[in-house]
Amino acid sequence: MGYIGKPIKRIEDPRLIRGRGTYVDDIELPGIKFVAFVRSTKPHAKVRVKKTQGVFTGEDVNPGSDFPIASKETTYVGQPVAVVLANDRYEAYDLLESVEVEYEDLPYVLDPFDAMKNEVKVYTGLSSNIYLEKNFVKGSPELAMDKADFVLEGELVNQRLIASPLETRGAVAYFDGQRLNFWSSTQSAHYLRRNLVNFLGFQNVRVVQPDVGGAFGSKIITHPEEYALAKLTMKLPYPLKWIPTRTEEMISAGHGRDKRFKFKVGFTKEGKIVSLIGTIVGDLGAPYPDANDDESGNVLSTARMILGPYDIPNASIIAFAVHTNKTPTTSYRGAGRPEATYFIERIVNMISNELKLDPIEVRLRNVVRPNQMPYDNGFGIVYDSGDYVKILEDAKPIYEELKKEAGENYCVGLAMYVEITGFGPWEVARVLAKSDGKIIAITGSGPHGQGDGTAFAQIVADVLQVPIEDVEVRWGDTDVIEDGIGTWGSRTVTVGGSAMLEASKELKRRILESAGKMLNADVEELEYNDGKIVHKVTKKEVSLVDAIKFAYRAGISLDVTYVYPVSKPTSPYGVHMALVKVDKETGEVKVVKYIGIDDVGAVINPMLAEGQIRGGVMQGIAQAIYESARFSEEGVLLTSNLSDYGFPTAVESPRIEWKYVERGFSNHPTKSKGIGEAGAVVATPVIVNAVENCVGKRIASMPSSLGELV
Amino acid sequence: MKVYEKDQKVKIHFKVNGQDVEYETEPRKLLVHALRELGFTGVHIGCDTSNCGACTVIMNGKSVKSCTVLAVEADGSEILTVEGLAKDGKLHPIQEAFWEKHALQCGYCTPGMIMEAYWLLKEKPDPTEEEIREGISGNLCRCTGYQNIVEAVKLASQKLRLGQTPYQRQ
Repeated sequence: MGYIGKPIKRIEDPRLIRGRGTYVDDIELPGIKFVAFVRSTKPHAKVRVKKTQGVFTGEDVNPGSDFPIASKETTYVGQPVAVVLANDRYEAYDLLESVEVEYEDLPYVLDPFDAMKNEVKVYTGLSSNIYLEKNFVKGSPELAMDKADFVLEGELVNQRLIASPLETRGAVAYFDGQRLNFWSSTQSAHYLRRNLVNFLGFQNVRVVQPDVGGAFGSKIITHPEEYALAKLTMKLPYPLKWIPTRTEEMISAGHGRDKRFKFKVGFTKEGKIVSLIGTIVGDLGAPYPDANDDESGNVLSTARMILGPYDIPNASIIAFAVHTNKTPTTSYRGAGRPEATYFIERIVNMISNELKLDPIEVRLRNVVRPNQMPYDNGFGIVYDSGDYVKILEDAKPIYEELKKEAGENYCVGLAMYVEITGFGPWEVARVLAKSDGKIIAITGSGPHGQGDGTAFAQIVADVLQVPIEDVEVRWGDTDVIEDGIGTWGSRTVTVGGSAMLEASKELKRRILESAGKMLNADVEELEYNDGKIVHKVTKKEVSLVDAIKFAYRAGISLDVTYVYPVSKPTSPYGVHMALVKVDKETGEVKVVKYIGIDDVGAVINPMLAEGQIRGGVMQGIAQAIYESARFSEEGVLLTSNLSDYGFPTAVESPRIEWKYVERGFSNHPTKSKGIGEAGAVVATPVIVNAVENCVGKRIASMPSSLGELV
Repeated sequence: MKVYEKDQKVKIHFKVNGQDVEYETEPRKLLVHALRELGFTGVHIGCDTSNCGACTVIMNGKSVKSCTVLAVEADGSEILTVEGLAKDGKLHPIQEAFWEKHALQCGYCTPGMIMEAYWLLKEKPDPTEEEIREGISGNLCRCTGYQNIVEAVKLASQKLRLGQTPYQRQ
């Protein structure tokens, strides 16, 4: 007992290391048909599909509309334009070859700045390519800019990436005549259910999230293919399975980031930032509503978080979310916050180099002070707790050490971040005891690799004072819990865990009530100790199992559902550093050493938290030096497989050291903050700052290409 | 020389995890699909260009990407998948080490990664960190950042050299 805060080994692992997981493609049903999608080869065109046996079109899925499946007009290469059904995947892909599609080319636009001119419409039904425009202002930015000692201007690009979870999307759908049963590689069964109900206008929908091979934001939304599968299985007398190929996945899903920032920053000769004025343009890709809704929120996150952990008194930011004829963008690990952190940390690095001022010193002169907490950043975000000065002081000796280690061609970089995590609006937990004493905990979240199941077991075991092995944790089936939100926004342990904590406390109260009846005592006279219930005076005791058994006889329900509402996100922060080697002959960049210090509030399981940091940091590093989703002038993705895209292997990945401090706790019952995205948020500017410090040239885009560096 | 027509099914025989298996297949079918159809669903598919290694199995003592072998080519071979590693419910030291070192998150690369580690440690019982990283460079992982996998392979190498569990014979 006392599991919270300990590096408890994962309860998820025994099945997965034996190859006994059940991912969606492992599910088979009698008579199942395999579904594949014909995808647009044009960025923008009128489209006509010849209907033959086993071929369905947009008109069958969404009559009169081009979303989710294009009926008459396609707006990106990779958009589904037809559906085929066959007995297995081999036959389905044979059939794909035979589908006749006629295209009539329409003008298209790939660059968001061009798209903003509205000379070429991404889709004929749009009144404007600009989906969203929002202005954020605090103080008097123009006035302050005029008075600044120095002004720097520039443009930074945070390029398009592809989430690339190792398991693609995929789904199995079966309508049994009364109910639609839907299994999907998704980040939330409950959220997917709500979307399907809404699309179908039919409420008898059960969704199951089986084991999911990662997502990184790419499986939050309901994808066109999922809607199509649901719609078709309602009409057809057999179950359907859809599993895309990796190439299909890369051209059609998981695209994220893709934001640019034109900026002007004013600062004093001491390095104090006095004004930031800029324009953020986020590329939404084509107008698929589910994706646009997701990513436009991320564009706003970039704008709201652009001031970073710094107390910048004057700022003016215009944020645009713009359509282009490319794959619709969606959340990717960090969902808008990595871009914000990248932009401000790159700017701070430039100021540091400009003034020849130590990067920690520059930050110390700008960060929000502890006595300003909670701090309203003026753009609609409140940083709730923490000590930004102290964590920079913690970082200082480590940074100095790294500088000492840096020989010729080695450079050191640093970046700081503040995050927003633990989003609402609510989460659900159900904790129940079977009449034989078995404890079952069910979450409304949808873990897909993060190991929250283990953290939940730690929480429940601590509250009920039982061995962790006695707690079984489940999730991912709309039939087994009232409802749920999902796993994203680094919210699961904090928000889902708080629901779990409160549900467990209520279960414990009910078990005490049952013991009270057994011992003819008031609950106040009882003590809950080490999984036993003891009468404080008579010292008579009842075992937990007996109290649970008796509850059923006494008519006390031991099935507790707790809905935990959330109003505000909570803000972790940290400082990360790296030692990077740049080969000036070849331009090759290699991260040699990486060290991060984070304050994420109470750490429920340091082993899992560290695992999240290492995974996130590696994705952040990959953005800095390896990965980029590039398109040809014809609007075709050039990086549509895992060799062209730059997905790093164990050889490219460095050792990542992680330390944590617990200073700024959240107001949630768990006192924790999220860490799932922090690594990816901060690592990218750490590496680019290091490279910039080394090559002595301002770096405007990523990945840091060989040509640019040599 | 046997010649098969395009749509003709071929009967093949191979050993999977020590058991004799008979399987009828089209010549074009990939070994990865055959193994999954036979119930070895721990063998995963992560890409379509032979990069990711999620489908890695041991075939006649060598680690191979089963997405890049035709099922008919595997006729007469001996194959080991992750399902065949644990014996009588007891985990193989590599599996234990992956659990102890938190070397998996979503678990999708894990079976292939474990099989590659199995092959690597047979080739090099005491690999350096660099050799481990090189040795698993055909196996992609999106979750872990690899470091804990490297630690797990190191731990497994110690466990195996201490002879805690002998390698099963193939």
